[in-house]
Amino acid sequence: MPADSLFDMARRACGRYSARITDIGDLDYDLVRPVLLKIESPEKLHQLEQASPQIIGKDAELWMNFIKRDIPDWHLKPHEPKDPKKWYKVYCKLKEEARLDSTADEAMLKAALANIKNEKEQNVTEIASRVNYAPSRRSRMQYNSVSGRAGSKGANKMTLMEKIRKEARDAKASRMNRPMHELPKRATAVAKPPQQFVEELKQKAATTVSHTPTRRVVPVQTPRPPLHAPRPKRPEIESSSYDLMKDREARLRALKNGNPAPGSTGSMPQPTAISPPMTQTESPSQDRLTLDFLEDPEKEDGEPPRKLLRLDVSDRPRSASPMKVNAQPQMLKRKPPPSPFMASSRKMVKRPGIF
Amino acid sequence: MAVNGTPSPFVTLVSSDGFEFHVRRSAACVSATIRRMLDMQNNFSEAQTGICHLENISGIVLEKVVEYFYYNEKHRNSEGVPDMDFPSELCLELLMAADYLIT
Repeated sequence: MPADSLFDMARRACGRYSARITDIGDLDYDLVRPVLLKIESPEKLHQLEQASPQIIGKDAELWMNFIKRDIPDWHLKPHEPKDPKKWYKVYCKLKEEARLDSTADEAMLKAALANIKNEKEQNVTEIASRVNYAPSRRSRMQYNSVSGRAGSKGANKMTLMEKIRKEARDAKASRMNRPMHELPKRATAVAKPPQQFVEELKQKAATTVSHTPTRRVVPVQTPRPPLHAPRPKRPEIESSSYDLMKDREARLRALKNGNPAPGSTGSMPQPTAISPPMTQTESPSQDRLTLDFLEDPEKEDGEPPRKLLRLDVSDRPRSASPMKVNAQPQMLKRKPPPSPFMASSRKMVKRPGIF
Repeated sequence: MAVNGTPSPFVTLVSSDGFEFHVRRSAACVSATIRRMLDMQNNFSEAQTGICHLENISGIVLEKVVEYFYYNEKHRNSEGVPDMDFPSELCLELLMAADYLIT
């Protein structure tokens, strides 16, 4: 078997170079059919038809291939022209129709998508942005035209109520700031007995212990300065408006006159039930001073008979009120030394240690 | 130039633009067209003179065609002969020439 025929060789070469072939000259359709079959674009085929009209009418199969390739549902449409020259026209028309169809479909799809998106957006919860209400009356009043800021600038501009509120807020916040692992610690062991409980116990003790002579004797021996008025009235002294100077004067007067009781009591202000809180809010130092001065650690005991009371107080640990515990040393220091009673008071203070 | 009834072993192929190719008769006769031209019995003038005028084939293409003639003769007895290398601009004309020469 010798080499292939020149015709076959040439045809194969043409097939290889078909992309570069732009003109088939006067070649017969059957000769160039393999070349034409390899043409990709209808436009090029149309050009070849224009240049080489001899293939017109014979290239229907090529056109059909193009239509089958490019037009969807081509078999539903009239696609075969009566005039074989019109293949390109038909193809263009079908192509345009297909394009319009696809764009219409695209638009429909887009609309559907937009619908879906809208529905989704309507279903989404929105976090409303913080509403800026109009500035309050206070902030309007406090508006600073220089700095352009409204409202208070710092704690010193706060009113009393604002300060209180702020403190309350801070306290709350600090409570909430507590670290997780420290939360259980909140339940602290009871360090001191509740006041009420202690007092109840004391009253019981008063009723029961009252006939124990030894106990009774001890308080009587306490070298209390006689100046210090009838004991039952003592607790009343802790009122806020107690005047140190007046008291001292009263004492002096009593000393001079020789009867101590009326002077001191007269100078004392009337007691009030709510006096302890009052002392806290107002000048606490002064109050503490008065308390110290009057050095009545048992004053919280109130009405029970004085001697018994003292006994109980000395017995139990001084835990009823921390403020008073703190106060006691101060009381010692501040106690005015000049009176002859001082020595006795010192002894009294020492007594717990002896006891 | 058939002299004394014994044909020359060479024939002359003339292109449309006047190029002449002296080709061995056996090689040229691969083409059915040329073979019939040169057939004594057909009594064509080509057979008398041994000169074939190929008016529709240019010199360049005819050169390639002649090349093929010898290529074919060279590989007469071989198998799986590779295709000749054609320049792209000659493909269609060679196709046309091959169609004409029936090779």
